[in-house]
Amino acid sequence: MKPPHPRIPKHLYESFRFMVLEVSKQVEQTLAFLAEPSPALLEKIVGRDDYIDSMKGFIEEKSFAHLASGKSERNVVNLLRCINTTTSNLERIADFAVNVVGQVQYLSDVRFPIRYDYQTCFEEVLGGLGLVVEALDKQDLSLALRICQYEFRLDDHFQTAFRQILDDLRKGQGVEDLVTSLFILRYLERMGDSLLNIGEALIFVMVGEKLKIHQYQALSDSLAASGMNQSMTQVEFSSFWGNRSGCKVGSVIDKADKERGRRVVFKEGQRGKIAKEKENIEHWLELMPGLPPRIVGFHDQEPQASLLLEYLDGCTFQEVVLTGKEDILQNAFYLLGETQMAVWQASRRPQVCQAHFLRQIRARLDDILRAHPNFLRPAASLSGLKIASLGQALNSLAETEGQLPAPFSVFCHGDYNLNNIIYNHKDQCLHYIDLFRSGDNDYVQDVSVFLISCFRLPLASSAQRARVTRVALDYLALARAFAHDQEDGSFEARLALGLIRSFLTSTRFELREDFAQEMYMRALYLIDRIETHQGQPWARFRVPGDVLVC
Amino acid sequence: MTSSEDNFKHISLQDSESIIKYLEALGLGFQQGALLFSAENQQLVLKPRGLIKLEVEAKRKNDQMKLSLKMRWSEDAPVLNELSLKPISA
Repeated sequence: MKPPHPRIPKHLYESFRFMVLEVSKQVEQTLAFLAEPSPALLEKIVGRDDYIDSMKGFIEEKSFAHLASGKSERNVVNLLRCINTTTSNLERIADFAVNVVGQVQYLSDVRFPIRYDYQTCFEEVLGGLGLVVEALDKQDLSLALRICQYEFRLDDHFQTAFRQILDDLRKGQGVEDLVTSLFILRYLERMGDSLLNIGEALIFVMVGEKLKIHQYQALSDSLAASGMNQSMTQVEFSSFWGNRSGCKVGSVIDKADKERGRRVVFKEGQRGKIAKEKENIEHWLELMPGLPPRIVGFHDQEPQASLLLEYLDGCTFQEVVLTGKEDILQNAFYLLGETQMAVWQASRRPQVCQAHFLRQIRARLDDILRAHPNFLRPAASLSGLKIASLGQALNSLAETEGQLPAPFSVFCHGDYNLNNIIYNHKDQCLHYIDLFRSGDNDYVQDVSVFLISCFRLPLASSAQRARVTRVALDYLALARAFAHDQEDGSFEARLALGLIRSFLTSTRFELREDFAQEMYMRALYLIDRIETHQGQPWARFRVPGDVLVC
Repeated sequence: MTSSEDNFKHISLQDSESIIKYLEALGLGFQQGALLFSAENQQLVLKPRGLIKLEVEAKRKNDQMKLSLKMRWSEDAPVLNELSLKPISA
């Protein structure tokens, strides 16, 4: 098979593929050894570990030699980085296999750990390894994501086994066998960590996270054009926001004078997107001065463009919700409500409009199904009860949406999630950021994105859960009050459509399969609610608040 | 939802109002003597007959509640009207 790029040396890539096979074999034989230990098999496993180590060394050496031999293209460098990150992690997996084998001598009964179903862990590791070469060959992002998912499943399995072992340890018998079993499972769990590293390395090579040369250039030019005359060697670029909406975002500050230096935000990407964001910021500034960041500079260099924006002090609304003190949260929420109402009232225009939620879903459906192929629900019948397929349900929903235009438009943020709202406690003000998608639209667009953004927050405790649910329900009450004032009778039905959209599309980046499934089922539940309501006045429809409870 | 020739599985979210149509559909199937499950051109027909073992289990674990209903029967169970008991003739 050919390497994924013509400038990757063939022998290097063949060794890489061979190493993946050898590590898979190592894991398979480790499983066989646990079932039936024998000195001959032990010798094979230990011997292969040395062989794998030397293969890793060979690939490393060839990669460096290739890089040193001349000017390499960036994507070749990235590929070699990816291959080397992968081989390092493959070597670790092989080491863990030897570690597992080394534990067997401490077992009084070799069959003892079977009760904790280590076989499933082996299957998961082998499943992930089986995708590595194909993911790189085809540069297939969904396969890379699937490799990462194996780690999450291995973690879940380890957690279950760990709790079971703790329970068994409390009984006070077979302590040596229990501790040894725990070590074995722990090594398998760590193989999962290595699989995650491999998946991430593959994602990096496909998505590309580093600033590209032209981005450095655009940043340098933007700084000069805006009167910040530092050369690129004098400024510190922190790519802490990575890529947002396809644009590279980072903050820039004068390295020599971090205390007094002016910090700005640099945003670089497709000209269309960057120019649109600039236009939207200008509109926001007219509508609500102080709400968006000020524009410090704009640099146009077809087909790319860049923006330098005022760096806004404060923290995101997400940080307030997750970690802020109660009085700070209340204060921030009060400001959010005030701001939201002021924006809606100031920008309200008596023109019907459509958010086109179904169009938004369809545009992302391939990505959703690539990440979660099992979401492609077929039509079914359950003892006479018809259950629509996902396609049928979406078609029917599209017809319903056609009957439900918003009675007026407001100027919407367009991506109103909790990370795009900055709260400044000291100055008691709010800011909106990431405004590329802003425009006149149905306010339900922002309401539904905000609500699902609450639902998606990673929550550590039940107290946090209760707090986030309260924020979501309070925000829903606020939006409902506005809808009531505006005599907007179809608000609830459109809200259901907006929530269905956001629940479904959020799953495409969600690697936690359980959580993705939870969001998917909530979307299907709302679809069912809408379908059941057909034929009745939409003014009587109501979104069940339970659907937002985390 | 997954299905194969001998297996039908459907998972969904319902509320206490919407779940009733599922329970009614199953009830109707029992009344009519056959429950048809189909998905992806696969059909599974269950014909309850004879004695049906019904297991009802209700559980509370912290704030999570679980109610499971399980029904089992054998397709080999004899149907009563197929039995031919003849009176002993004198």
